Amino acid sequence: MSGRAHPGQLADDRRLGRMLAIAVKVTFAVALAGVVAPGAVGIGLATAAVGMVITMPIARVFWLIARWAREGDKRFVVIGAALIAVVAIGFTLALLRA
Amino acid sequence: MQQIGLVLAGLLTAGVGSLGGLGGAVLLVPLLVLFGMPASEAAPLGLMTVAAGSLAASQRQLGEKLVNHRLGVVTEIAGSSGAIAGALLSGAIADRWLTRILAVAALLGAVIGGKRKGIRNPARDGYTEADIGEWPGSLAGAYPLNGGIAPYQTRRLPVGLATMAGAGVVAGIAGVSGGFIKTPTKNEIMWVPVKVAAATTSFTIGITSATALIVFAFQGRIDVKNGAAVIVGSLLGGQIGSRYQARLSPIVARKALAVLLLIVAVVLLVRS
Repeated sequence: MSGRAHPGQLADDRRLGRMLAIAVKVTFAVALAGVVAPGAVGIGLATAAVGMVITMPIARVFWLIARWAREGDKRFVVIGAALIAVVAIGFTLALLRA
Repeated sequence: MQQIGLVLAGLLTAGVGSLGGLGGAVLLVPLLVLFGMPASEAAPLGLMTVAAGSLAASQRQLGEKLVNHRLGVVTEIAGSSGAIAGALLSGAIADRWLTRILAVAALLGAVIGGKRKGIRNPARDGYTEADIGEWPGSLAGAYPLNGGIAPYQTRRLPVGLATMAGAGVVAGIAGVSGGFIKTPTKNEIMWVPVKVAAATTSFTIGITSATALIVFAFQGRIDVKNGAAVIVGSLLGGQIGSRYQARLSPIVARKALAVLLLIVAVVLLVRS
């Protein structure tokens, strides 16, 4: 059945949702272990959980860029890349000021 | 003991935040400061609740077909650009005045959203399940509504982007995600359905907060044990909030958002 949305979009969204659900469960378990575990082990696990929470939103943008490339939507591939560039510029400026 | 409190605080603020498309930092940070935590320590934790809540809410929002990634990425370019400018300007504006600006913005969002009646984007005939989702090459889309399918078309993009950039400036200065400005902007100015606006903002503020957290991490400002506690609570809260968001009618969702924004405005005014 054809429509205005890309045919594979909903399946792609469900796949993304499943990946994010796994990520949530893993992050939750690691964060909880980080809170509970003492000493260096706890700090290591807590650091890993914080790292996961930070990297996943940005990884999602890369995933979207790849999806839009597969859909042939070049305009939004460029827009997605522009967002990554803006984030990178902000990160660089903040580091230079730190 | 502190970490148990942080788990509960994360649960509450992320749950409420994902319900209304707010990040939760604007609720969590004043709460932590109220309980004696220095603002400099509370700010990274506020962003942690935003990022974790965004992650937790994402699966359900994707399953409910509410997220418009194209719209999110476009508006986030403006928002993140504004946040960079805001971060560079930070320190030039007194905290008290900044807080008052935030409070006025939240109050405006509450009044405008609370007063509006009806649904702008009702379900229409002539659309099928194949139309649900975001439409390639555009900022339009359709989402399921009350057993039907409601199409929508983003309007007033230049004004919306300018407001997003302004929200970003304010967010960059204040260290919050700006979700309480971004969701009403999408809904009231850009005519995006409130549930789509909330879900899409929930996606974008995850990016904003992640970027800011990278900077905080390099500055050594993140207490990872406290951060992990907030993540535990926020992951739970985000999932609970998104579950109820899906069940709300657009009118109830808009009224709930108006109430939340009113609370945010009062909290900010008291802080200032």
